[in-house]
Amino acid sequence: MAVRIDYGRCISCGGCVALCPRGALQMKSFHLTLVSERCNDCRFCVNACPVGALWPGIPDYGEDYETF
Amino acid sequence: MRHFDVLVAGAGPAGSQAARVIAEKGFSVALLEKRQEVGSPVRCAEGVSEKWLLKHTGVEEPWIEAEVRGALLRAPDGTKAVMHYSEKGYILDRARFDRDLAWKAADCGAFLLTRAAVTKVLPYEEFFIVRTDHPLHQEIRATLLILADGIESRLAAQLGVRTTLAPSDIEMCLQYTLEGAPHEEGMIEMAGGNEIAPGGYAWIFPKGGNRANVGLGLLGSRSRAGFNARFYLDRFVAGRFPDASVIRTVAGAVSASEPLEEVCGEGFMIAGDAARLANPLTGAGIGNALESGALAGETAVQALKAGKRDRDSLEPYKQKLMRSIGNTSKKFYRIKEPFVKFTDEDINNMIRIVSKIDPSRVTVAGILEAAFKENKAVLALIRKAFFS
Ligand SMILES: Cc1cc2nc3c(=O)[nH]c(=O)nc-3n(C[C@H](O)[C@H](O)[C@H](O)COP(=O)(O)OP(=O)(O)OC[C@H]3O[C@@H](n4cnc5c(N)ncnc54)[C@H](O)[C@@H]3O)c2cc1C
Ligand code: SF4
Ligand code: SF4
Repeated sequence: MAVRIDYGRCISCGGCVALCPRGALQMKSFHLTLVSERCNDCRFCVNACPVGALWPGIPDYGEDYETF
Repeated sequence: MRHFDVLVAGAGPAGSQAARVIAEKGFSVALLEKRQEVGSPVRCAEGVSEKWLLKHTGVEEPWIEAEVRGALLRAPDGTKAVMHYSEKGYILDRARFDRDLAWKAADCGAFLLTRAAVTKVLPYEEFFIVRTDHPLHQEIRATLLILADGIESRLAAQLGVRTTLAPSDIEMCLQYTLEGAPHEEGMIEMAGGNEIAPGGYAWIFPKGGNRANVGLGLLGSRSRAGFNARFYLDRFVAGRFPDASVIRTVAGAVSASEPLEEVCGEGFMIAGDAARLANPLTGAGIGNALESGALAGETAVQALKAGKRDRDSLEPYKQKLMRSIGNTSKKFYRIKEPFVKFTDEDINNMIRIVSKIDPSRVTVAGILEAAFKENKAVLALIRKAFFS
């Protein structure tokens, strides 16, 4: 299960790229891309994104997520 | 296909400084930047100590938005301590600063190319083949490479250098530039606390008049979905500046780690944030970026003059870098570890002790000593770091 990127929120800060242990996130110019096969859903990036633009692959947080 | 003596990836302070040093000595250098305009969007709180500018760039009037004489430290319980700097600081207009540094490199002869992201670096015989997404320069050859591609660097990884940061070694930051945010002129403010910025701190940097950069950084390992930098910053701003308007939003990350072990290899060097050179405790990285860029540039010139590009010929870069900033950074890193575990009470105590010292005598070492007064092991570390 791979994370999902909310492009409406992502401001291309690059933080998640620096901490993804699997090299699954890459910044193509200013467009964040995910190589889904590499993502193991560790959620480091989901927790750390300063603006909440990354979502876990499994939507187990339900509607609470919508608040932020 | 064009061939350059050196290709520099990334036109931040590190890359532009390196490119200028190389171009000034008459070698051919390409400076590639993925943004369409160097310096924008800004990803920084823009504070820098004058000493770095005097050493590397000089101080030019259009770069300076405010002068800083000291810092105000605020504890979670509201206790304040004041620190007067021994050397002047500035809040920069970094968009202008970064642009001017890159243009200066171009004035000296560097081939500056924007909207040119380096996508691939391939070692090939005695040079590198560099692929870019620029339609007119899809492939460039270069004898040496300087990777100055900032925090989201992936290029060093292509050459086998591990650059991934652990969540506990990165500060995830968000900052608003506010209009209508009254603050003390000439002072930066730093506020700590686990309800304010877990594992990091909030800052207020003056930008002239009632304008200020107000932001905070959260340790990646202490950030949670929903309780991320935006959550904490919105709360901080609502409490302190309820009437202010947001005129710019900046998100970014700063490493809070030791510098990379491998900052050079066969034909390449890594500079600035890409080498994880920002101060692990404060996040300050502009000065270190300038310094490392200059050192990488000088080392490249020496190697080219000797007609060499092997790892040993570039090793002086690592040695000089460690001597000038790397070793200090390593010491700060060891202090950071216990520091980020502080409770609010620890921070209150620390600032209370510092608040009793004459502001002109408060030093970073003094603040840390106050912080770890009960912890003999860390105290010994601090004394070793600052006084040996
Ligand atoms: C919110 C925040 C606040 C900060 N506040 C301060 C502060 O007050 N004082 C301070 O000293 N430091 C501060 N820092 C740290 C400081 O911004 C950095 O340390 C500094 O910018 C590092 O310079 P650099 O040249 O290494 O990298 P950068 O300035 O990040 O430059 C890297 C450049 O490379 C380009 N690039 C990236 N990938 C590629 C590619 N593949 N191809 C071509 N180009 C590429 C990028 O677009 C960018 O222009 C802050 C950082 C953040 C995030
Ligand atoms: S950390 Fe968040 S805002 Fe930054 S690049 Fe990743 S998804 Fe985008
Ligand atoms: S969940 Fe983990 S592996 Fe997947 S993209 Fe995020 S940091 Fe990388």
